[in-house]
Amino acid sequence: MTGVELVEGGVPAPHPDVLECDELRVWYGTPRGPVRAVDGVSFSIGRGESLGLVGESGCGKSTLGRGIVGLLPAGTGVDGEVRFEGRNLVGLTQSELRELRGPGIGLIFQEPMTRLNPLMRISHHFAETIRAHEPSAGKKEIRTRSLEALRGMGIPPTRFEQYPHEFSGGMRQRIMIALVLVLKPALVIADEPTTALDVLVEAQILEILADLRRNFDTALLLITHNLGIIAEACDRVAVMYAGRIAEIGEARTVFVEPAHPYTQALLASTISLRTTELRFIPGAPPDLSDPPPGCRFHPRCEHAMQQCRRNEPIDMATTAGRVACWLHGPDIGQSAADREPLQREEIASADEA
Amino acid sequence: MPTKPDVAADQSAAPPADALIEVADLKVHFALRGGILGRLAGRSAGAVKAVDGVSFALGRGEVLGLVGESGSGKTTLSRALLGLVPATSGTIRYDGRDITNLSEHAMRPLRSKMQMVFQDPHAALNPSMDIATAVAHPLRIHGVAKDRAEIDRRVRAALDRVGLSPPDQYLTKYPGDLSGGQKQRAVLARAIMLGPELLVADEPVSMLDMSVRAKILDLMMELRRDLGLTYVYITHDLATAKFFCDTIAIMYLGRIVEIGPAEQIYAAPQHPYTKALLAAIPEPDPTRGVPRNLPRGEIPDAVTPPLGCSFHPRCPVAFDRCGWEGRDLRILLEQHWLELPVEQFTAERAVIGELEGLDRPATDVLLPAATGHTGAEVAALLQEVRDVHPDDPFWLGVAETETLSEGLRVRFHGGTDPALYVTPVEHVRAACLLYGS
Amino acid sequence: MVANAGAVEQVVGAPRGGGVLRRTLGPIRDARGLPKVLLWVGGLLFLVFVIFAIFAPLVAPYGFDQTESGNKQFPKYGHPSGSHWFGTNVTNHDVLSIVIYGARTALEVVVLAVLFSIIIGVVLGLISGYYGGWLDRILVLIMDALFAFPYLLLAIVVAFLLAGKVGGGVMTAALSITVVYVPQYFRVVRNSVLSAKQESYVEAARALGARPRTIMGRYLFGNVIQSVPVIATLNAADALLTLAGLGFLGYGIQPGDAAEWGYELSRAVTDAGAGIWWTGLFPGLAIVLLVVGLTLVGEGLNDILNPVLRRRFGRLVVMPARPRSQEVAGDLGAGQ
Repeated sequence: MTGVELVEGGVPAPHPDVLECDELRVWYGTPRGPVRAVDGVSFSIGRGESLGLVGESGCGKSTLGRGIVGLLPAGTGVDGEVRFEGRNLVGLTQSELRELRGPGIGLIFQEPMTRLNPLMRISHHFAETIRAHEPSAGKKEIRTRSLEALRGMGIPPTRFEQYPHEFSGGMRQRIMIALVLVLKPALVIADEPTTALDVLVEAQILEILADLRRNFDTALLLITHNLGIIAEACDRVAVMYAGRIAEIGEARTVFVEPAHPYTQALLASTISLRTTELRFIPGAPPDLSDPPPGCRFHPRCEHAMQQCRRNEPIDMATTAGRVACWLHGPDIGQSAADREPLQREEIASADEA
Repeated sequence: MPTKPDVAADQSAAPPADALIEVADLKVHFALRGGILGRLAGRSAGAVKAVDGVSFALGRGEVLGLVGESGSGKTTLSRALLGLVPATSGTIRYDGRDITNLSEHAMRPLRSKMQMVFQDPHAALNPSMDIATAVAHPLRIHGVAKDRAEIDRRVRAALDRVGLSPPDQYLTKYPGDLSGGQKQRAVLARAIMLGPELLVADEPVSMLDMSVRAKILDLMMELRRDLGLTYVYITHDLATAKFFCDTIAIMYLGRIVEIGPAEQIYAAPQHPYTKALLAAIPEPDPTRGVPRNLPRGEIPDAVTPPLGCSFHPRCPVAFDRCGWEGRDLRILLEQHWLELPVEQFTAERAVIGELEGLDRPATDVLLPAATGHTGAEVAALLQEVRDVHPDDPFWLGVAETETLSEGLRVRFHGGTDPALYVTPVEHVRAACLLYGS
Repeated sequence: MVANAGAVEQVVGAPRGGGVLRRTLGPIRDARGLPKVLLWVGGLLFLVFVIFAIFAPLVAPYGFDQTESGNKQFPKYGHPSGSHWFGTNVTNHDVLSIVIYGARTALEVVVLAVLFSIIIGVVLGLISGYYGGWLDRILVLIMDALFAFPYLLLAIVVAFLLAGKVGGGVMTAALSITVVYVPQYFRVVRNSVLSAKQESYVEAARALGARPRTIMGRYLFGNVIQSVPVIATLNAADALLTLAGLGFLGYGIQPGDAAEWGYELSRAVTDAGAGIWWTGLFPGLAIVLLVVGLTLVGEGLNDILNPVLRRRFGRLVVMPARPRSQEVAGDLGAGQ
């Protein structure tokens, strides 16, 4: 991460952090009451850095991704700050956000098949995208930039005039990524970009995403449920559970020495070629309209203490970054009784996922 | 916590005496409907060869893994096994009896013995039926138990068996109220209601979260043990397959390209495609970076597959007999142009004429010169292309070139379509010309 | 993961499956805003006419073909007055009573017609979509031909052919209109079946060994008739206009059998030139109001039930202030 650098001549340097989330909360309104999908999330992404956001279904990670760019249903409550290159996005109008999406923040979604207009040639897609944000761009410039972007994705220039249905799923996802990158955004948010794809195609896409910072100097927020993907493509990882960040830090360190029990359990339950035992986490993620008191993971945690049921844990620094878990302190204010192991109720089979 | 079950000591290639399923040279081709003129002229517009000559045998209590990407034909094969899709040729035997293309009527009583678990738990349950009705439905369909109390008892037992307990809590729920893992459990409950022998599981866990996958796989293993089930497990994820399967068959474009005991396949993969699949699996190990030697390109068109070995256009170790043809030339050129800046691409492209002529499966093709250019220029261009990557396996396949005035004639070595050859690894066979001819 | 995209859906009150009734009534109950207003206004209008229809003898001052009361003859072309709120027409009938009894006729015919259309259209659509093949091709051909025919002409032809053969003007009119609208239901249901056929749960039913009739009845039916309520209401509005058209042209209901707004309008055409406005205005207004009412209900239902159009009715959320971390730490330090 770069610090603030002053360039000669007094021109202000670009903001060191591309994205800063500060106590972001996103609550949906439902007939049953508010659903606290994102409930106090703070993190930052530096220039050209890639952060992987991992969690199970229902932990709020997709909501976080959409909440950053304001793609939320009407009536959703948003609180906190999201600073993109220093500018707070919370509270901006839809049209201001629209200007930002594209040249500022690029979005890659899960289903590439449905995001391309089947009636438009690829060249037309690019022309439309570029002109929407740079109306003065000339035809030749558009063509050159588009072919360059496609080249970076491994799409041959001879196919520039074809229609989306003439490409396979993996190629369409690569075209989507090219469409996003042709505008040279500072940040790309990718929400489960490879979940619908086969393993070889997935590896190709991951290769592209991993090289983003080198080839395009773009920061990446990669949202997924697969820890393996994050290990391969991201510098840092944030583990999300029930709307909060449980642990965040350097990927290398977190994977080797996970600090939060949930991270440990997730790693243990990931099935890879080296798995010899099937491990799973008992119970199921909580209902976000009525989360458990104190630490939200305590009903499923092996190491839960009395303290965990009463108070929400405080963020503590670790070698990799930070973790929110009473196992890591602070010790001030905790009595011996607080540290007594919690007798977890036998998790009824009915609560199993 | 459950560990991998022991693999049977000797898995010979000959079909086991008590094979539950035997498939011999099965083909499933879907005819394409051509344009109006084509239909009027009586021309068939070709067929999608979804399954193109598959043979294997599965013993009782075994688990066969069918591994492949989309387009490999594994899904079609699974449907064909259950008679949900008609077979174009070949035979399927269930417990010794030929069930290929049996009428629905004759097939119905067999259906209680062969059941299916689907990939998308959100779509596999009827949204307008509650769980009690959905799980009980097999009983009603086959008229097995008429008494309501009996049906109720059996439904509760099944729900208990799959971990949806207490059953009372689930009987009145609708699929929309359940999580992915719970839905998949309900699907399993429905599948075991009639006491089947064979369970065909089509990607049962790929749409579930990691931690839930382990639970469902564990459940499936329990059911195998307690109910003596035989499984055909279809997936594109070799990691879960390693855990669950005794035998693995890797599929590519409608054929089995490698088959053998799971232990051997993972320890020493023989086919280049298998090696690529194994290398591409994401590992939660940040020291490992993304694998960089992925096979180029993608699964080709199943209507006119590549000549010779269908994997040859993407294979890093292909050689002269693998079936090189004109379409590979086009791919080579496009790959080359990918690496050039736009102006250079435009300049080179101008030398060559229409590339459409290369899109046929032919071993003797003409790379045409554009108007205003000669065959000699084309030859020179191709030589430049070769000089950039002289080690590309493609050049091993080119037998000779001849410079003509209208372009460059390229002739390739003829290719052989590999069968499943025996490999140096015991009991493993691979469809690769490295091991036979 | 499908679950993720669905997570937002599920959270914000999308229908959660269940029986047909549950999936229809649920969203209606939860609806807010413009669609709800549409539903209420339309529903109210519709209700008024339903009351007219059912309680006609009680509500109407006179019978629809009554020409005298007590010993007094009704005037010809009587102006709207205390005893005849809407005046009288050329044959000495009370216009108000005609309007009220006309509601009964209209609703009888339209309800019958829509019911028949639904039954025939849905069943044929299910069979055609499920089996495909030559049966499907023939049915589609027939339905497309019917659909392409100008609807009024078609209704007239059928009314003409059926005249006298089927009992009563009401049944004739109902059947003529049925023929016009069957193709709509057929098409919609057939298309839904074609796409639902691909779903895993239908495949699962086949793998279980279910017979086609079970698959169509239990698995497909509940899931393909979602658009039917909307179409039915919009259809009813249209059918009403067709009925009025038939009546206007003199086909369908004969004046002696029942009161019919369209027929009244046809007679009122010449009256207008003579300055007699009440014989045409009131029946015409009745048609307009009932059609508008049905259309509003239909559009309101469409906005609510149609998953493509449905707006996410997220309730506005008020968030409590977030406790700052330092305060919590302070509490801990002080409390323990």
